[in-house]
Amino acid sequence: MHAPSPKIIYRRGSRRRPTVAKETNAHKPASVWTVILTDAHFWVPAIVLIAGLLVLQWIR
Amino acid sequence: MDPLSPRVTSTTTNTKMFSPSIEAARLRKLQIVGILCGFGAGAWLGAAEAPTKLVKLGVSPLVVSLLMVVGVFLARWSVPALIRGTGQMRIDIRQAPHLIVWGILAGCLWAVANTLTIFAIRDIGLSIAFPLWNINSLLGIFWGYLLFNELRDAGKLRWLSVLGGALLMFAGATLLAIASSAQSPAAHPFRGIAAALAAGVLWGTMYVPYRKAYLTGMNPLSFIAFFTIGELGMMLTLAILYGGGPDALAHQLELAKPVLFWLMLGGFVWVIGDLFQQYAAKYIGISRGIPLSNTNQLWGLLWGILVFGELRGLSTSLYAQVIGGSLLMAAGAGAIALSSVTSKEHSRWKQAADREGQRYKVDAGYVEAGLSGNNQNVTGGELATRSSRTWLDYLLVIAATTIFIALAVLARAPNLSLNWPALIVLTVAMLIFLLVCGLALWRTTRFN
Repeated sequence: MHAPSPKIIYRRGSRRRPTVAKETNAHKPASVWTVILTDAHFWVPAIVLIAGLLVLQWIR
Repeated sequence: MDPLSPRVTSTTTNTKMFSPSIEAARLRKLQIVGILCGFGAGAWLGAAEAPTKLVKLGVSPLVVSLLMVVGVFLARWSVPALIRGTGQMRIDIRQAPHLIVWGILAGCLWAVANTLTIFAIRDIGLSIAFPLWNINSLLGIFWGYLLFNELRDAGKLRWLSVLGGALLMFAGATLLAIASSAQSPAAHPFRGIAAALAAGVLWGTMYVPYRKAYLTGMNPLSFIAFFTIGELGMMLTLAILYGGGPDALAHQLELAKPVLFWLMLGGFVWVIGDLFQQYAAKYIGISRGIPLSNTNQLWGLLWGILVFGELRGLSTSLYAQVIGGSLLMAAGAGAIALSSVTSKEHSRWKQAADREGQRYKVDAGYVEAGLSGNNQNVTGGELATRSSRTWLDYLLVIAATTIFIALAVLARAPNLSLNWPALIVLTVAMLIFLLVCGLALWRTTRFN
């Protein structure tokens, strides 16, 4: 099976050769932030940090 | 192929399994390096307190902490630039961009924990506070087991060695803290205990991002650069918030000018120790690496007693406590050092690494190269060549060196009686650790 051809862009009024569109990360299923925020491990240090700040606010 | 080119995130690259396990000889070598780094970390982290003992001005502990962190920041950008070059850091960012967030989060945890210890010492004294926040290594073992498969399939003997060793170190640390304490009775016991316990929990949890990074193949030299952004940002915020605002902070900094060099030197020494701690966490895991680097208390005490003449003229029972505590800590560290990672346990680590790689779509070759400490980076499934240092790296090194020299010129010589022979012996011991650990890391991993 052939891979899909790269999208060719023709600019109106341009004398330059058509250019190939840059590959974007749009095909990625999720952004880095989404993956981090849905990682249960992330919430362990994040919650501990918030709790630590609350303790600091209380004891100072 | 351009080593800085964007990584390929094809499904085949991301989901491919690791090649057969790192051979036993390589694993053994990495463990020896990790154990050496754990002990080296203890020596350098313990010595980091020494320059701060030279500070006798009425500067707030928060400002002392902030200035040490500034020294740490300078060192954490210049040392990696000198060893590997920032080009390698860019490769790490491309491969695992999520670890910037994890690094900054770990830095924030460190800064809050460090500030809590200042309040804990104020309220309950070092003798009670230190053992309480030393629970961090026990928590490190817990997180290592729960989240990263450490000590899984390790066998009862190794469990006994690690847990027993950590408990011995905890008992030894308690004895040492009581003996070395010259604090007045607790002013606010409940608040102080809460602060010390919270610091322990924060530090113990800080190792979660560490392990996360190293299982995903991140180089410690890159990780600490992100870590320090969180560390400095959070420390600066806390110093402004709790130090009475920007004007009060500026006034305190002006007061601290003559001692800036000593504080930042302490930060620099601390970075070397922390770097070894990171390598220890990487190659022997947090359950073994963190307790070993907690031997810093022993070294701190050695500096205090031998160089600064602390505990002079005290009762024999106190000396017995010091010797007993030291022996307990040494025995605990020995037990942990002897508890090697079996190939079965290592394969469980690899399962955790595989899980991380798949979740964050990190190139499997990059993760495996990081786990086995290979001197190659993998970009898009192909080996990338090592990039040389650029003008930016030399600029970073020159800028940091210039700042340190300028501060050294401004610095006021401490008016303290020091035991110079002891100072020289301990400095030589530190340098030996630096040489041995550095050489071991270079020969085995090329700092990768």
